[in-house]
Amino acid sequence: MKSTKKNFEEQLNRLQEIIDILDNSDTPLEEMMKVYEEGIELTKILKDYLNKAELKVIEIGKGLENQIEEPILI
Amino acid sequence: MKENTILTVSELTGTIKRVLENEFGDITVKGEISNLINHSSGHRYFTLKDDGAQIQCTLWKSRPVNFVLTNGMKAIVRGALSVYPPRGNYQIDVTRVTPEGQGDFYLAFEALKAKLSEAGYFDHDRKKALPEIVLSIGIITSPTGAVIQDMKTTINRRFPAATIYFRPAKVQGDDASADISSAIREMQKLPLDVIIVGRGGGSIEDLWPFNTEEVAKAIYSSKIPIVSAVGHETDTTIADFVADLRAPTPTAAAELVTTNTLADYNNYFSDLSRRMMDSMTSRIEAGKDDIFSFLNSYSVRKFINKIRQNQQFVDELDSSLQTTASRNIKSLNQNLSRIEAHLLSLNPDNPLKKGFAIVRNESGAIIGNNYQLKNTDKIVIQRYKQKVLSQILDNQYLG
Repeated sequence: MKSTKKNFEEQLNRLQEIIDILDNSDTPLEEMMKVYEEGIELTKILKDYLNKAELKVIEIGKGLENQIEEPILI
Repeated sequence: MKENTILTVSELTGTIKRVLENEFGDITVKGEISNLINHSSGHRYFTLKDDGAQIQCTLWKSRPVNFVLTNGMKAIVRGALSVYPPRGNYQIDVTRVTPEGQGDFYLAFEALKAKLSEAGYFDHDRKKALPEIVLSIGIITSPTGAVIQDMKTTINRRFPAATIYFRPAKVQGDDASADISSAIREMQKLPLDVIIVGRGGGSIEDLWPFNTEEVAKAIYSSKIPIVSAVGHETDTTIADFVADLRAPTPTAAAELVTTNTLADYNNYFSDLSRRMMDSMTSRIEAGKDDIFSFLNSYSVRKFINKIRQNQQFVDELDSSLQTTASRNIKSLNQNLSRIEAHLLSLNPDNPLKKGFAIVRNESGAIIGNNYQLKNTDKIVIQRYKQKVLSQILDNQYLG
């Protein structure tokens, strides 16, 4: 299972990759259109995740740290 | 005891031991520490003295003190009076030592600071940087009082997508150091981006747990970056020196770990969307010829719709930002209108109006320049408002 952070970071990295593909003048138009759509979709997903999330506060009892499960993104 | 009874030394000493230990029991004595010996076994020996007298003291390894003992420090010693028969002396078996006054706390503080500095605890090159993306925040502080509440409020205001792992801890009193340091160790197992360790303001005694070697070691050993936030801006503790980052107050720590606020992320996403759209725009500008052959296709129409939809997305982002972004959106809209006008101007009907024609085969596909038409080939010539089925009578290669 991927951690929230890893997921989030990977998606941000993918966005950066997409920007690079779009900036490259050698990219065929059809591929540009494909990654462009992916990029816009990814931006929406990330933006929705952050804007809809509410602050989670998990209280840890002494010595109970093993019981915690991490919330998963998307 | 009878006058003429002859005792052995051991018998006498045994009696003295019984009398003294029973008579005095637990005692609390104040005086100045001198002749301090930190034995390699971990036990500590010193003399407690004042102007008129002195007494030996032993502090066993198993009884950690919360500060570094130094010669000349005035201290309050608690323990039991005991007699050590092999040497015929009496001494205090110390259970607890505390500095006697403000000045002595200062002395203890300086002593530990010097020791840890020497050991490399404060070295800048071992300090961990705060990660760029902070989603999970560990907090170690008191469950009561305003501090935890203020931190939650601050984090919620700046970056509500965060997750806080809160470990309530004792932050003053004798066992606070032990609780804080085990909390730091426990948190190492959690998926945290940063840990805040702190408490609100208080007297030097209240803040003392953050001036102990035990807490310093726990912070030093942490793999997760630690932000210290102890007391008010003017309070400086050993924990502040060891921590990767020092915040003047707990609320400031909450701000520090939310460097990237939700608004910053939204700005970033707006910026990325804009860049993606800009790339497409400039590519369309640069690739008019490519576009021409695409124009009639389904995918291009779909794409134009996409751009329109994206405009709506950017509008949404804009309203969530409620800031200067609106200016950028306006220029985006202008860009979009320009692309749209441009695409419309590239409608293949326009050249047809000027008298150009498109040559297709019988099934309607455009015949490219790389195909050489032969005599008797059937073609459909598409003119402006007219289609003509024709057959090649003669052809001539002009290449």
